[in-house]
Amino acid sequence: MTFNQLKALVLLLAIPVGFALAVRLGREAEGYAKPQRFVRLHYGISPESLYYLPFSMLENVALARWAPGKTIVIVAGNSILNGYGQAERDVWTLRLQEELGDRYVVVNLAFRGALPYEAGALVAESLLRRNYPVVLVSNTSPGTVGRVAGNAYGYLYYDALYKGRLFNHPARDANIAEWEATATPAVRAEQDELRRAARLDANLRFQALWHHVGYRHLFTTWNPHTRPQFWQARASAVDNLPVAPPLAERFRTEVASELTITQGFSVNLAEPDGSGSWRVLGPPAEIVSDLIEDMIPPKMRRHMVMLLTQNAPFYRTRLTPTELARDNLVFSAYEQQWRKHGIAAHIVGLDFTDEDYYDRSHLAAAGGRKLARLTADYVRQISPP
Amino acid sequence: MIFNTYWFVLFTVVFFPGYWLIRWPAARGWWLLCGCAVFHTHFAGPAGVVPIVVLGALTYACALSGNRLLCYGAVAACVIALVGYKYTHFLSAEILAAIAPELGAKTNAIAATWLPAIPPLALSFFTFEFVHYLVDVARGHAPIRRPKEFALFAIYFPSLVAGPIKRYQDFTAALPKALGRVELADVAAGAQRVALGFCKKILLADNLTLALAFHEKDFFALTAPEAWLFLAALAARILLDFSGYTDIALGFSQMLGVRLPENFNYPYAATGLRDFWARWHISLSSWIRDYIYIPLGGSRHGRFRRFLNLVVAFALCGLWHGPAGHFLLWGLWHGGGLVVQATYRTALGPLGAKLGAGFDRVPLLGWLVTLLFVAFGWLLFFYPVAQAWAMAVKLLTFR
Repeated sequence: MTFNQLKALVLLLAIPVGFALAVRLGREAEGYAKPQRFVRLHYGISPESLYYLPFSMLENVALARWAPGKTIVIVAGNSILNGYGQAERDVWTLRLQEELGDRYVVVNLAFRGALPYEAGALVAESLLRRNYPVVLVSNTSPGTVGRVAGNAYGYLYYDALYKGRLFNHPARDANIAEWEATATPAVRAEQDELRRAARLDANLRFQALWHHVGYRHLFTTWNPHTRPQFWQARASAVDNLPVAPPLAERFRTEVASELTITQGFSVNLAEPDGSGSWRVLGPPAEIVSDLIEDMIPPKMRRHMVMLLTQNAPFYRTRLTPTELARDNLVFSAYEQQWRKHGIAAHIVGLDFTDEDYYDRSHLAAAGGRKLARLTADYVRQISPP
Repeated sequence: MIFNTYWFVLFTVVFFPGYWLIRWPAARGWWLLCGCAVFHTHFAGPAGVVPIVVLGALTYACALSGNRLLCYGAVAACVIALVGYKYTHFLSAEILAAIAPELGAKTNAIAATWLPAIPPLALSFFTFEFVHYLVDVARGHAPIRRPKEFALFAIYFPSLVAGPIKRYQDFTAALPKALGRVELADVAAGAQRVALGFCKKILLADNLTLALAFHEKDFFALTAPEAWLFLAALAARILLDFSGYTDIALGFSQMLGVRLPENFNYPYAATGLRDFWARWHISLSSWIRDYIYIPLGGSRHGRFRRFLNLVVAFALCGLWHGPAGHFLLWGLWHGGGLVVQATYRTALGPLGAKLGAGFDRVPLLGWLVTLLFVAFGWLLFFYPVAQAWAMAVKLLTFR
């Protein structure tokens, strides 16, 4: 054997050896409890900055402060529950922890733009499946449920699914299969790729290794949220989500478009009943009902608090009396809709003031405190200390 | 990018060990052909495969007949297919509509009903290879006799998506050796090349793509140094992206024992535009030289025809990159640049002679001018003409 052949052989042997070593390290990395001093998911640790936290990392965060005898309160949902508009030290889930006391461990896994039963919600499902005492708090608007797959955080569903973390729920599988069958070829190809990635990762754990390196040592992908030093370890990324300015400076921009959105919360969900009042439209309510049934395993439902988050009074008071009546009817109807499936649903924000809101939908620190008090009661109702 | 899909990872894991483990050349050839077919079918879909199979069968049969007329007929069929699938919308909605708006709109509407939304995968690439093959056979080269060998030439997966554009004589000469025995050194060198390509593509080019996409929205608010940095990033991005992809293609091919032609040779080190085109996308520029420029007459019919041929060849080269006016202008920009490079010494009289002597004495000057020329050309390549013009003005006025 010549020297060049020997060199080639060494290199080619190094490839499988290096690969096996990486798999081993990935399995190690999967067990690490990171991030430390976790408050919430911010730009630095979010898919928004191309940091696609693996499911195991979210689970580790949820379990990091847990001890036997404590109930884990997973806060999922969207930017409203993420605390967008509140400084890190004022995030409402810190107040919720104070309200609930030591018998509960509150973990904020809400992602901006997430659906009510997506991303962080699946962590709650995984923990419940492993018999941890869990309460899931999430939020939505009337008419919104969505699927666990096919959205920005759909990768977490496949990640959890192929690692055997979720309840067996055939209705969910069938619903997703049915949706995919009618999707465009591009969407189907994208879903296929996500599934392949998750299946491979279930054996090889490359996501855990990669995100551990990205969190602790070095990140390699440019993105606007962490520029200019995009390569810095994500552990050093600071929570710089926007904070509500003084009240006089709020509700000043995009008032017309935000008002249209507020009107839109109920416009397609109810129709005039002919006597000057409103009735809830059947088909959208049925879709919501079917999606709740299909997406959320029955075992999970009695461990859930679903908050139907209302818009700021600044906008609600600008609705006409008829629009306001429709809005109230729709919120109440959809609250009942969730309750019919055994989920503790509550409308929140009706008695909040403009002071409590950062913008149309997000809460300022004052609103966060109110939300924490209300949510603490709801959590205690389904999981007494 | 096809090479960094999970599908391709799985394909690689199954295909390559199988290829290396099979010792019988004929069986290895069949395994390679199956791999290529699976790869092509997966990424192109049945609707994308059928036209290629039809064109491939036609090309093979016509070349095999040895009849020159049939060969050129097949060339025409390939070109018509390319124009039909890829350029009908551009020709009807932009060119014809500019002359006769109603007719343009009508043609475009008709075309939209029978053409797929996107042309078959790598149609331009297939057309260029088929045309090369047919023309060479018509010129007297021996055709490929075995259908399996021709099919391998046609759908050889490493070069399928972004080239390089192969020459069948080199490929068919390399194939029996590769199918007979794969050298360990080739596999190792190929793996290193693949790794280099992925680094260039993913670590560098993709990051530049993200940064450019973010900053192009506020390009006109950038300071002058930032705007020039943007231009430099734009130029670096396309080189790293394309040459990275080519490294991956060449690397995978070398791992199969087949050496594909190099496509890049430090193009940004060129000291003149002609030098640049001898280093950039070499397989395309040599194809254009051999199958457009020379058949048009090359430099055989006087200076005017030579320059006209050059401009026409580069206009077509521009259009090859995509059916849009800015690609055409990018081609004309380079064609025009080559004409200027070939004529300025005499056309400008004593000033031209002095300039030429200056470039000869200080190659750094030629390098700088070439680099700037190419970089400004990329504005035309990536952006609509009006936007490219406004960006160029901002850069040149240092605002």
